[in-house]
Amino acid sequence: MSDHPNSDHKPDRLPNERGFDPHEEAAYADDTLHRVHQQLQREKEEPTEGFSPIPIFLLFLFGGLVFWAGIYMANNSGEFRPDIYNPEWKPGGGGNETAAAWDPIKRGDRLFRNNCAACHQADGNGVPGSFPPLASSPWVVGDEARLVKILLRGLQGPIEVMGTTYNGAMPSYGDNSGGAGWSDRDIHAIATYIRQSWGNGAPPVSEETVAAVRAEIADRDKAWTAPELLEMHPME
Amino acid sequence: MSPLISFFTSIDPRQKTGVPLKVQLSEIDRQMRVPVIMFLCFAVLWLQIGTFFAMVSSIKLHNPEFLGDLSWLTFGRTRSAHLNSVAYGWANNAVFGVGLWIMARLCKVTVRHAGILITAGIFWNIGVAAGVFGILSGGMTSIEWLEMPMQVAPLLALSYAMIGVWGVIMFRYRALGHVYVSQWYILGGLFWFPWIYMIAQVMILWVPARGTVQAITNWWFAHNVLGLWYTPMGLAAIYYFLPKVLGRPIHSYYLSVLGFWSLALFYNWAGVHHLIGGPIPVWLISAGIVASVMMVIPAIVTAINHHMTAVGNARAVWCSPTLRFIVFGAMSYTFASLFGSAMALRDINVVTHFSQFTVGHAHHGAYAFFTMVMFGSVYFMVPRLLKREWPSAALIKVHFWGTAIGIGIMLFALHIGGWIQGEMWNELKDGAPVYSNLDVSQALVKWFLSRSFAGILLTIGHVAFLVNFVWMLAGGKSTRYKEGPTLIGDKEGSTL
Repeated sequence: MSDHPNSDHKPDRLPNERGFDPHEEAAYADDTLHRVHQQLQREKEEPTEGFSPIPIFLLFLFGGLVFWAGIYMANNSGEFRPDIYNPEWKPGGGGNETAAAWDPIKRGDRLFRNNCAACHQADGNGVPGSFPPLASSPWVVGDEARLVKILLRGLQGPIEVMGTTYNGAMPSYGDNSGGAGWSDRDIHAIATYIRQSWGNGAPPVSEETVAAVRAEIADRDKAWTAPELLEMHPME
Repeated sequence: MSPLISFFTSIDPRQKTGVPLKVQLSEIDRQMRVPVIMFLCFAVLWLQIGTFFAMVSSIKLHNPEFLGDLSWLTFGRTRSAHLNSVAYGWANNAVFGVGLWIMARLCKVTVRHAGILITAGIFWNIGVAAGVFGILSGGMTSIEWLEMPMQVAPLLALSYAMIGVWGVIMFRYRALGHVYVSQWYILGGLFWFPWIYMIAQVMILWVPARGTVQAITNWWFAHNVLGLWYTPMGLAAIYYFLPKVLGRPIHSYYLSVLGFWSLALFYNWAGVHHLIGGPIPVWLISAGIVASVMMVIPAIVTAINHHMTAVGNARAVWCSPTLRFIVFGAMSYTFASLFGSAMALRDINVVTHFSQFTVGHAHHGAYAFFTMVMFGSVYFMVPRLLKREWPSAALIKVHFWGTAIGIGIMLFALHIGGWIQGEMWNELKDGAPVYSNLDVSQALVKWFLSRSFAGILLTIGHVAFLVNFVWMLAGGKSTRYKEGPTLIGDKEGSTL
């Protein structure tokens, strides 16, 4: 109807005025016709889209967001492992498992095989003439302070074990010069291990005992000799 | 021809060709009238019911003894009855009405077997009513957003299938040519909603998955109802009505594309940020956080697209009831999205999680954005469907100011109050909480009172809407065309 040449026709036009159309005049008076067409008349075109380009700053913003996302996932993804629940976990942290129960025998076994077995042998019997045995040795199953002192400073010179004299050098695992610097915990583990292996049945050596001995001999630096130790701790 | 084939032929809803566009639209409006008006009636009704439960729940938070003797109206039930009646009652009916109508207009097709659509719509509402009744009578589940007893789910799913399928059929038979952005969003939503709803029902209630998978599914669903159902439908309505009423094109097709696909890509992941601190693998939570932050992209893109379309037309926006609500909703979408992205960050979430801040955010998205957009859509559609004008501009103004101020106060109260609540919970001294639960509750009372006040304003707005709507249905002032469309401001040449 909008393309009708007289669509701008107003009803108050007089019949002698230009643009008067008797048919439209009749139509205008018809209410129904208006009701049907009123929405049609004011209806605008269906929506369309323009094609303005994306503002360049958005690309930088999104680039930054994607970069941040990558960093965040690298730091907080727990390596995508199904067993990592802790957001504080960092790669290499070894999962969320609780600390395994401390077993001095297990730890001592490992320490013995890596450090002691070369001389004292895996069966604890040593090498006759060169390295003294640990199995059944009173130096091992006897006074615990004496044993810990040997471990912490080493032993130099002749030593008599179960009727045989050995002349060698036992290295130090303590914190003196040249010592291996083991913790109280490791000394406690190795001492307990050798006192309870190969048929030895001596009670364990506690971490506290090790710490006390370590404090007691803090001033001494060189290795012990057997007579020195026997003077402090006579053989039972 | 076999009956089956003739049925499938009969659903072909294409219009006769060669008819002018406006006549086609008028014809579509006529054919969509009954189902769409029915959905809008249900929607408006559920809105009032949901508002009632919201007010009861809100008052109980500062006056716990209020209606405390009625087991049917205890807080746990009214709160869930509120959520389900506004989500599945108001919002879904509004989506069905608005979404299908926009789809029909843009596809230039209509629903051939409206009887099936109407029947399915009635059964949907029977299902929701049964679900809300189940909640009130004590049969609710413990799953947030799925509180309705599980027995109503098959009815809802089947009804939905018979409703949503019409949108897909219309798209299938759409008029050839450019597919407009609103059609993408509606088509996407029509597939996303049944997918998330059925997966959540099956994995949580029917064949429960083991352990925390239920919680993950729950929040994947609850967040996606908003993100992949209400949000695309709300955006589809904004994308349709904003250029339609202003009579100018959407700013940029490219921004529309970017906004749609970034929403489709990222929203699906975001729900897991509700489980920050929960016992699920940390990568899942981190992925949820990253996706939530990436939601900044669709939010900003859509905001620019809408702003550049509307810019310079402030007066026209102000005068059109449709656009006043729609632009309010579009702006709320931007802010709600940016707030949501921030809330997903661990450092902010540690304060906002479990507090009223989250409740405020839910209303920011579901009300200030989605519901306001649906109000605006209804103001545009009903005059065309009924060929009448809105009887009262004053009631539209009451509706707008009641809801706009009401939701403004509510969001302010819940965000500030929620932040204070979270900070008080987190306050530690020597590893022990400084504030007892009673201290926190007492500190919140004034914010809860503010929310109830806001709720009264919202109720006034909703009642004004109801009165205007019923008045219009009843045919009041049906000859108003002589005065033109009902506007809420004076601007020469404005349209509704």
